[in-house]
Amino acid sequence: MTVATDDLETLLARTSDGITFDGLRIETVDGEYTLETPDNEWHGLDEAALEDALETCEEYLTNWRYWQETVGGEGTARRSFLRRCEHAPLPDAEEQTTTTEGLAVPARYDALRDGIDRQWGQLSITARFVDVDAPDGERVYDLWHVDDADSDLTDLEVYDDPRDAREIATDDGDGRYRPLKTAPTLVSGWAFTGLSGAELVETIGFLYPATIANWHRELRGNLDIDHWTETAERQTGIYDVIDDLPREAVDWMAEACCADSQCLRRREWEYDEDDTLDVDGGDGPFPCREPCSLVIAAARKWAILESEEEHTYELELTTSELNQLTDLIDAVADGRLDEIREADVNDGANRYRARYLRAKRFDEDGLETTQVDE
Amino acid sequence: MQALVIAAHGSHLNPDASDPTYAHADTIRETGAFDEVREAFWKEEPHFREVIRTLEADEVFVVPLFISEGYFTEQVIPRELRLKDWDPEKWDSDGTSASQATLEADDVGKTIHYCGPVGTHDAMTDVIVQRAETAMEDPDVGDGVGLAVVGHGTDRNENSAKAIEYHTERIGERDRFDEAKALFMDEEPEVDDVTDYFESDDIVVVPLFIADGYHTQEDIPEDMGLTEDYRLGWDVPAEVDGYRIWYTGAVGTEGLMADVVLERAADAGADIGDARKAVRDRTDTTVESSHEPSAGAGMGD
Repeated sequence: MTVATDDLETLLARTSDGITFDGLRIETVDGEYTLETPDNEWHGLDEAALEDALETCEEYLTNWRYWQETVGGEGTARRSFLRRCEHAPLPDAEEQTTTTEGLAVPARYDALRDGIDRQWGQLSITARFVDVDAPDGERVYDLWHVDDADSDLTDLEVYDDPRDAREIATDDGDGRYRPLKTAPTLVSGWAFTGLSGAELVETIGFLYPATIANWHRELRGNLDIDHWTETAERQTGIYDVIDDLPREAVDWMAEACCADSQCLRRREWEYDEDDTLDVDGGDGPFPCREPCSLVIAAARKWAILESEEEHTYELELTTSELNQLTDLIDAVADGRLDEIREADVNDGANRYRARYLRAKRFDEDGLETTQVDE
Repeated sequence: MQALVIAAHGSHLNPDASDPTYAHADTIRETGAFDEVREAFWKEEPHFREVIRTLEADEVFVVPLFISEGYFTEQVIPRELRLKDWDPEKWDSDGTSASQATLEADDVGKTIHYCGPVGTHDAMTDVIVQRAETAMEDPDVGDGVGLAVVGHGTDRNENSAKAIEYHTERIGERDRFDEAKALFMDEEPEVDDVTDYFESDDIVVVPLFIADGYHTQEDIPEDMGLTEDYRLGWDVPAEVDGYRIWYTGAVGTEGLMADVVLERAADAGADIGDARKAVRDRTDTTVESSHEPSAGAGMGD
């Protein structure tokens, strides 16, 4: 195997400033080269000797070329994300951990021959060599739903244009619009294959907008978090009212909206910097740095509802009917209505059970109640 | 490197609200004029708040896909983009003459050229005329035809009506259509009485809205008497009081809107090469207009 001529030329053009990258080090002093890898080192090489020496550590050379020439973008979220895709060291990371230290080049090259799988929310990303039989260092990326990890590619709808991801992300499996892109309701049954690094990042930008940028900020320790009070006070127009939402209601809101079952983002914002919410922020893979527009819109509704006074009402229910109200609310809150079987009258949220309760306990205004604190 | 951000309203309820934004962004992507093109939304993702950080370019042109200068373009978008030195005075506008302001976004350290909305750009006049051409399937439309430009009106801010009147006046000066009138949904002259304001037998009605939704697909067709019930659709043209009304929905879906976006960015200093020509060459077919009803809450939810 010989070092590709253009690789060598590119490399030589870059060596004047020295190269230190992923274990490869090349220096030139007075026309003599020094070459170092973690396994070996050579000194006093002329150009021909350097070429010979590089043949024994070609993986380091092609790895250097892929990252420095093909990917580029030093310091960008795109580059760090692509490095994460193959367990490469993440020099941008604020704290070096076993995860950010990553794999050395030979181990990565072994793994890239089979493909390296990484998860990103409900996405599974495979990084692999373009040419598995004669890898020249160039990588491509395949992307699909984690649920399709074991599916045959021929059973999936295959795409190669990142913009096709927009349509995939629009509706859930029941055909309902997904206004929250990080809701755990991404449909499966599709695959993107052979994407370049830039295309992979663009595709994920449509599926999970801004998650890579915010992950990268978190990695570098500069995620800018806007807590509830800052976000609420900033609002104007019809959302001006949301800073009236009572403190405890913000807890309830976070519990309702920002749970792992509803959103893959991990809530990092709190009530304010010194006042944390009672509920856990979840274990989502992407940091959530401020209340999203859906939370703001819902907060407006709750701010208006919470401005109402509480009253005491009297209504007559059997114990089972009272329990049934709990079942009904739970079923809606957990999105379980579709699972309740038509004839399962043992389930309090069964449609016939609900219709019976309505027939028995409703008058023309709804639930028959008497306000007793007038 | 230079990037373009198209800033639009979007919707939590109606998936179609962002279609024109994506369509115009794609048209511009294909010209290759910008290293990066990104859509950003108030109600969808990426949100205005987080769009700039997704870009690698240091110079960013932000073009609001909004009709008028007002609450969204003067307050919401600059605030959410963190343009901390923003002041509407920087546009030095009379309500329809905003061009751009150059600012820093303080979370990213990039130069942001914050442009006026597409709706008040002079090139928008051409888009309205093109919409009339596509509605009547006649590239020379004008003779014997009245043109109504329909807007929301003043309930939100006075500039909303100004943008409608501005383009109507410009179209009138071209002497292309027999008549050109500005009509409104919630003020006089009202679109409900469209036939009272025209003498021409053929009236082409162009709503100056960015996206199709409740107003353009439900209210306006019913108000004009094109249909009893928007869900049943309507004919183009539809007969009303002996007039033929040609109505096809929001002008914002017209392919030539991409050209207005490009012009806004170019006015702010973007190097767009011959992208405008490329867009003008292809926009007859870029975005299919449709008069099929599409239910939804549109922009207002």
